[in-house]
Order: sequence, then C-alpha cells, then structure tokens
Amino acid sequence: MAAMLAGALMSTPAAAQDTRPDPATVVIPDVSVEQNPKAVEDGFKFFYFHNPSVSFNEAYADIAECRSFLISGAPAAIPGFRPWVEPVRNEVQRQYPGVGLLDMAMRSAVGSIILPKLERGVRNNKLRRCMEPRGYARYPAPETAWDTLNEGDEPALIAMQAKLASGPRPVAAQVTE
Amino acid sequence: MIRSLLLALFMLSAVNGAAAKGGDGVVSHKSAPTALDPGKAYLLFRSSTAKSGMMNIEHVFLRIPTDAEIAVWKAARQAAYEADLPKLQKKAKGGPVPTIGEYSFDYAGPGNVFAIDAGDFIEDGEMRQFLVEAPAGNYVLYGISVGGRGVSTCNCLGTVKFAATAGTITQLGSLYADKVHKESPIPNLEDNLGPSMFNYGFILGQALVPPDETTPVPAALAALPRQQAAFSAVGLFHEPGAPSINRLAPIPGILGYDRGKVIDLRTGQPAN
Repeated sequence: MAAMLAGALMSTPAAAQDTRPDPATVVIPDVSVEQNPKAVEDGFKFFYFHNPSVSFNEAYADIAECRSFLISGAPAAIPGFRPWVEPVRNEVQRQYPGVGLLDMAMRSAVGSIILPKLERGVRNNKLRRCMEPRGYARYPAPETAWDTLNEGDEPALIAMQAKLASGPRPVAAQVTE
Repeated sequence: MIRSLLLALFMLSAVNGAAAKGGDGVVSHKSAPTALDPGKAYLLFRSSTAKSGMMNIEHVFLRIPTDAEIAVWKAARQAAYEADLPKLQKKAKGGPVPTIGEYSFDYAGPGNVFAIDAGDFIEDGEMRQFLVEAPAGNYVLYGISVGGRGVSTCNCLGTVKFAATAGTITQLGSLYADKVHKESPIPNLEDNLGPSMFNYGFILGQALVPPDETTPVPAALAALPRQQAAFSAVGLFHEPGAPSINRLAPIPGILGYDRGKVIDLRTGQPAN
C-alpha cells in the first residue's frame, strides 16, 4: 500500500530508465570552491551530494526518489483524513500562521527575504535525511552553481546532480555541520 | 535572532490548522475502564515525555482506512471537483486545468490521523502510560507532532504497522520521541543528525521498543483482555504537509534499512 502511495509521486523505475540521459551528454556547472572561501563557509546551505560507490543510474534513482519528498502541501492538520492509497494534494493556502504582527511581517519585504531561506532549509533537511543513509556525503558548491542544480526542469537537474554524485571524488572537504 | 524567528514560525506553521486533537472515535482514558467495549480497540503504550519549549512532543497514528471510507472520500472529492470545475477552468485562462489528482481538496469527513495528547495519560511517570480507545483496524506509526495539531515530522522513510482488534487491549510497548538534530537524552532514537538540521526547522525522531513479558502494565488494567501487537515494516510513503521527514529507528527483528530501502526483518525482504 505504501509503495502505491510512493509510486503515485515518483516515476516508475522503468519509465525513469527510458528518460535517463547519457551522462556524457549532461552538462554540469562548475562546483569548484578552492578559490571561494565564502562557498566553503556556506556549504551547509549550498551543497551537492557525492557517493563514491554508485553509478550514474543508481544516483539518478536515489536523487529522483528523495526529491519526490520535496513536494509540499498545506500543513497536515490533526485530526485529519489520509486515504493512504494515494497522497493528499492540498495547496499551500498560507504556509505561515496568521498571528497579527508576525503575519504582517511574513507578508512584508522582510518575509520575502526570510521565506526563501526557510524553504531552502526545509528542502535541504528533507534531502539530507533521505540521501545520507544511502551513503551520500555533502560537498560545498558556489551559490550560483547550486541554483543551476536546483532550479528548473526536474529531470535535467536530477541528471546534473546524478552526474556529480557519481563522478570523481570532489577535491573540497565534506560538509560536516 | 532570525534563526529564533524562523524556528518559531516553522513550529507554528506545523500546528496551524485544526482546533482539536484526537481522531473520530478516539478517546484517551485517564482512568482504567472496568470493562472493555467489545466494539472498540484499545491501544496501550508507554511514552517518553520530551517537550519542545513548552509544547509537548506527541505521537501521531494513522488508521488505514477501509475500502468504504476511501470510497466515501473519493466520492466527496469527485463532487467537489465537479462543482469547482468552472472556477478551475476560468482560473486556468485557457491553460491546463488541474486533474482530479491535482485538485486541492479539503475533506470534512471523519479523520483517521490523530495525535495522542501527552496530558491524557492513565499513569504518570518518567514513561507515561496511555490507554487509547479507538476503532478496530490497522494502524501505522505515522509520525511526530509538536503540540499535537499538525504532523511536524512524518515517518515517511520507514515505519511499522500493527493490527488492533476489538474487545481487547493491544499492547504496543514503549514509544520515544524528541528533536534529533543533536544528541537527545531520550533513549533509542536515531539522533545527533547534525546541528545545521536545526537551522530552519525541527527534525524529530521516533523509536519503538515492542512489548515483552517484562513491559510494565498498569495494575488496574492487568485483568483486562490484552495482547501484544505484532508489528510489520512499512515502506516509503508521502505526507506533503509534513515540514520534515524521517524514519522510525530500526527495531531488531522487525524493521531494518538497507540504504534507502525499508527491510521487513521478519522476511528479509523490502517492505511494501
């Protein structure tokens, strides 16, 4: 039953195989940080995964599966109903609570600065919890490269991340914090 | 300062929603019943008592709905979708109209996901005892809640389920939960996941120690019909409304993990 649920949000392995590109054709951004101490310092915010023991296809499957958990919805209120056989798709009407000044702040210019950071942190946490038990470690990336790896066409960015994840061991030190 | 604000907002975002705890037909007993209702199931478990600030960290259960319940939900969603279709088409302005699978639907029917209020215990202590009356059925340890009004962390990366039959107490053993970005004083958790996991939100973890003959049972319940839960592993599932995801800590002989795969250790096979 749970597999049905997961399958509803993920590509099937067979379908994913059919659409996977030849890694030789995948162009990846420059993730070197040797001359970029700020990128090293911000590695806990902007990173990519690498695992020395996976192939491109294995990395692609892992990243696709873990990124399927990034789909977000309205807060899961309790008590509530979950059909279990398929995920509930509720739009985010208002992600943050209406509590007077706080709510006004979140709708303000301050909010527009904070919310993307908050969303990035939530997404990073989900990816870390899913990827790290699979043997992946984090390595720092310049923010511009991180943007390229995380924003845009989903299959394309999964392919880029998979090529990095299964490629040569990064020169930079792992992100550990 | 910003981090504190973000944490407060994140926590509140997870609890924004329903005004009451508890699922339909779910009652936490604060004293021992003299007899069991033959039409009801009863869940007995011990629980750790960790808090986040002033808010209790609570366990979230999902009862797997019956085919009839799913059919009612689907019919309600279909009716709402058809009623909203003109608005959806107008909003799409000639573009793609959401399919029914993409349609945002708030269901007002009976709930099957609920948290157990940490204050509604039958016996106090370092490990509190809870006796929860609930519909008979199959239950999933679904996740953890801060405050009990929203799912804060789902066990989307692996958990267990069990059957609760009517007319008897199903003994679950001991449940533990806490924040797990750093080392927790609560035992049995997979913790110390890294301090930066706490920068932009909570990540909570849950653990289960199944019952055995030494698991304490409140004396007032000792004479009532009781059976130990039989747990089996549950594979990945999605809860888009949970701000964080985690997995139930491994349980020897029951729940294991091999990279991302959930393994049913009773069979050695990946869990469904």
